[in-house]
Amino acid sequence: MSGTAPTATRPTPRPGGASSPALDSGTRRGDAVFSGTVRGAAILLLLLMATIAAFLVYRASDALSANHANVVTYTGQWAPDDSPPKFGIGTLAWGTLVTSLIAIIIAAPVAVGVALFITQYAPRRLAQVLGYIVDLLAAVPSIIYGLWGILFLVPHMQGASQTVSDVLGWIPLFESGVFGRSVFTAGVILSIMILPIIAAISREVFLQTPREQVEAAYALGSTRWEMIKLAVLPYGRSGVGSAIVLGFGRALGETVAVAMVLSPSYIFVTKLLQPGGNTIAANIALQFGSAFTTGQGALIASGLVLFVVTFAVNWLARRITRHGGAGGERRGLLALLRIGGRDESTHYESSFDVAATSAATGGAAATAIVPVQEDRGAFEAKDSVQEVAEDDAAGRARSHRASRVGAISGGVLSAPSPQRRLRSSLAGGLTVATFVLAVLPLLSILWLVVSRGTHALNLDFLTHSLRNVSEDQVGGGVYHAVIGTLEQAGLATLMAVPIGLLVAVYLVEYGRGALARAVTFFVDVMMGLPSIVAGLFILSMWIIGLGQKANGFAGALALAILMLPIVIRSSEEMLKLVPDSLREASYALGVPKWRTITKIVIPTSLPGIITGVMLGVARVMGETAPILLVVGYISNINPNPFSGDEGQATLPTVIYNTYTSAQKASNDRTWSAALLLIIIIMLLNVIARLIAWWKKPGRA
Amino acid sequence: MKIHVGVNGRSATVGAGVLALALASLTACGSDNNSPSSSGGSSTTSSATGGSSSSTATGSSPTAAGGEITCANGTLAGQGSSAQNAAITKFVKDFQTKCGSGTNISYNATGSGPGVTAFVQKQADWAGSDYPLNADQQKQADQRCGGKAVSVGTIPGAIAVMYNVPNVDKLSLSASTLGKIFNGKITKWNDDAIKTDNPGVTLPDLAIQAFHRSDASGTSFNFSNYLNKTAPSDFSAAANKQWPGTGGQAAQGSKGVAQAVQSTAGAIGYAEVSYATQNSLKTAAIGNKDGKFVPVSIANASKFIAKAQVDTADGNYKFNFDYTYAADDAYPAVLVTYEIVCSTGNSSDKLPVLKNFLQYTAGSAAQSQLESLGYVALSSDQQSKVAAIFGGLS
Repeated sequence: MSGTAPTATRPTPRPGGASSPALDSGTRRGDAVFSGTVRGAAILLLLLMATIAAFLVYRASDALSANHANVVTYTGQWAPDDSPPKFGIGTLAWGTLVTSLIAIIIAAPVAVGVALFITQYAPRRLAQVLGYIVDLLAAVPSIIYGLWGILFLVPHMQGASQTVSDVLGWIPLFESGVFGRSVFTAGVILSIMILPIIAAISREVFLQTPREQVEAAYALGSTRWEMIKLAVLPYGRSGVGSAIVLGFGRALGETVAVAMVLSPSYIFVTKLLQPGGNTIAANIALQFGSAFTTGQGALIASGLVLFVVTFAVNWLARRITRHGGAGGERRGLLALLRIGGRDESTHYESSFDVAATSAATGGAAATAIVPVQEDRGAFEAKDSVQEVAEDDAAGRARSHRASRVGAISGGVLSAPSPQRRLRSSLAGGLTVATFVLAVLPLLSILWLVVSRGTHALNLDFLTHSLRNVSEDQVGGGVYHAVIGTLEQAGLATLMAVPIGLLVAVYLVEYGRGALARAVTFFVDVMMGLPSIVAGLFILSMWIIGLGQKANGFAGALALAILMLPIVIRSSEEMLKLVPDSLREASYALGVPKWRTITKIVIPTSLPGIITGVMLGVARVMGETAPILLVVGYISNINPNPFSGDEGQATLPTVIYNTYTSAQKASNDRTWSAALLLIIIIMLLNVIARLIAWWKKPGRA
Repeated sequence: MKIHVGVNGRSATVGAGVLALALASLTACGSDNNSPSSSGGSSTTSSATGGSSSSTATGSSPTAAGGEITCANGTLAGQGSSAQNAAITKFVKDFQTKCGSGTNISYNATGSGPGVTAFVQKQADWAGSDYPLNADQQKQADQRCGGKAVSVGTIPGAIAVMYNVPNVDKLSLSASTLGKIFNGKITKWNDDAIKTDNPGVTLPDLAIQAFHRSDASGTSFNFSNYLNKTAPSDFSAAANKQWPGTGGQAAQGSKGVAQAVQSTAGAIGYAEVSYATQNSLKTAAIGNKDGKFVPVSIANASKFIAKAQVDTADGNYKFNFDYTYAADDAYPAVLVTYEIVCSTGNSSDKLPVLKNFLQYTAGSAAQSQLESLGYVALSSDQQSKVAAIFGGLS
């Protein structure tokens, strides 16, 4: 390693082929090969996207042309494989919109309240912890929400929807609700799932409120609530708006949790509290198993509709941010970076939080992160981060001081009237209430998983499979599923990381012109790819089209497609954070560009990249929907993901396949598997954070 | 600069090493052997006694063709009907216990529809389905086999109408009342139609929550067939694997329906009777063509199935039920789960285990366990015929 130290290479500047922005170090063979490789990776990515798109459109159009029903208005059974084929996507799209709207109506105000509480009201030390909790909750996989939904929420929803219909029953929307399974229930589950994301992004946005404005508001004698109204809310409006839209986007593509609590039917739902309705994603999960050629095409067509809607929503989120005040987006990113500086953690980590949490439907990372490009030259990493940290800490302290001063001077000059003070404390109390409201279901989930999951969680559980274990029999375990989960996620990482890293290098170090723009665009598109659609693609192209087996490797392929954009985005950001002065110093020593990149740029940003990759791994590990489609479920140990004989179990599919059991022994195992899954994912998250903290610039 | 490279390079290597170690240690310590631990032993013994008692019962009669397990090594993946899940899971367990770790058979109860699809798409070596292949599917399945696919009725069962109405322990429902309930025409438990079926029973003023299957299901096919053939005026939709009724709620898989009925007051749903037993759900007596109420029981169902016509054309073994048969003790909502398999064109590495396992399911040692598992056994004549079909696979 030391043999290839930069100084060992003698500079041999040659004219022509200026590829480096800093110094014309000439085109060497190494540079040519390297730039060829990264460009090749970028083109590979485009080809992959083109293949996915062309294949999906082709299959979809076949089914659409075979359809004998009006695809928009048809409300009969889903029967694309009958003759004549009949199916409608309109009802599904409608159901998708309705559930997501319910979710957003519930989640948005609560999430904003939570963000306000954490940033404005909670004591500082507590705020940091609460922020972490909210972040971690965003990492809970959807199968866990589904499990909680069907076994805990649905039985309790009967009473709840009865209450809602008693109060609001005069509105046709809320007519006669005594049912546990309804679009309303699905909406409630979704709202709990998207709340952490909206809250996390809103929190970051609120934190970047300029100190001057806060202080100015206090200087005018504002109460805290008035300060929030004057400074924080107006400043954060666009950011919160885009957070809400992103949450909406995530709700649209959610599959398993909705599929588990919905009572599907193919109608245009208008009565929210009554059973019926379906969403695009849930319908794919429900129908793919029995779909033949036309059926798959029909599901793909619906998947495309979902994909287009999700992409449009994410695009809208970006537009909102872009229009929200000059440089709002850029400041958004800077603020994200500052948080790391202010707290004990690094700036890398915070931007990753968003990258990771938003990975579900993409967007936030893109929203917050894209514009840094312009800042690259000016951004003086290390020193500036520390400075920023100090500055920021001081700013915080100042604002506290200012508020006190404000209060004191107010006492002298014009004390806030009791009414105003009351309003301020009321508002504060309200944000506390939203926080409690938000945390209750989450606590309930964790409590259920932990309290019920510990019965069966023992050494045998970790070292045995479910082979030959009947439902009523105590014993057995999920060793086979842990193996499957780790192997599939590992294979996906092995595929996604090299390509993703190369593409990121291309975008940051070489990317100019049309190719770079196209790659950036398609990475955004991939961010918005609902996971079920990725599964559908692998199923119909890899397994059915190419006759491959439904083994662990097929699962890894689907996961790699989902991981790729996360890796590209996060690596890209980390590479951008490497100060240009480092590159220039290297060039000045005559080091060729490719060596500068491999020996200086990538190693410098490596901890950040590793953190991003680990968060990506944690995310795909909890994926259920695509794995259900492409990996055969078995209950014995199969350590070979390339097996031609059998599939593999993963922890999420074990939960999915056993959750309806009535037997206590089997139920205990389901909850233990859920607990184990949460533990593994949380561990990965914590390790990722530790790496980021351990390797943060300037710590040593 | 050097330091930078060194530190990061080392940490990456260490990280990779740790990961590799963790994976390596993980792959070393797992076990598929679950029989000696905990209460697993009890069910193994019960299976053994089940097997031996059957052979003593039939004495020295010709059970060589259909009796005990003949082992073969290999891996099989089956998929389909959730109605036969309890039975097939038990048979798989017997087979794997006897044959050891060289034999792995998985059966994934995804529903009849997905089972047939997976079979046609070569994702399953055999499918369980509560209805035989139709003409269209037969063509695709033959193509998949590169030969001939057959539907062999192997595990008959009864469809129980399960309900969850507090304080109502005995319930009778005629086919026409059931048709109205599952079409959303009757919405309260104290509806007059239900009262007429149940003189003397106090019925609560409770909303009916009717659950059907959301996936393509053979149980749905057979139950809608019973309703349509017995009460066509109140259930006009023809039998369909996608539940053809209107209204009501849907749940996935037989387990999903049972779970929904169990957790919902006012619920009613249908599934193979083993699910009612497992979940301790109350079941209703249902009306036959003559309007007589017959409670669900294995004995009653077997009397109805005994009247079915067996169609053995093209190497299949299909049951055609006679819904006009209206004996007092013949339960009319029944099904037969077919094992759908290539009769020719099986791959040579799968064939021994496929053949031996399916032969075991049709043999007396397996079939004699069916009653205790909540199913109806084939008659001994049928057993040997079905076993012969499986024995002839190639």
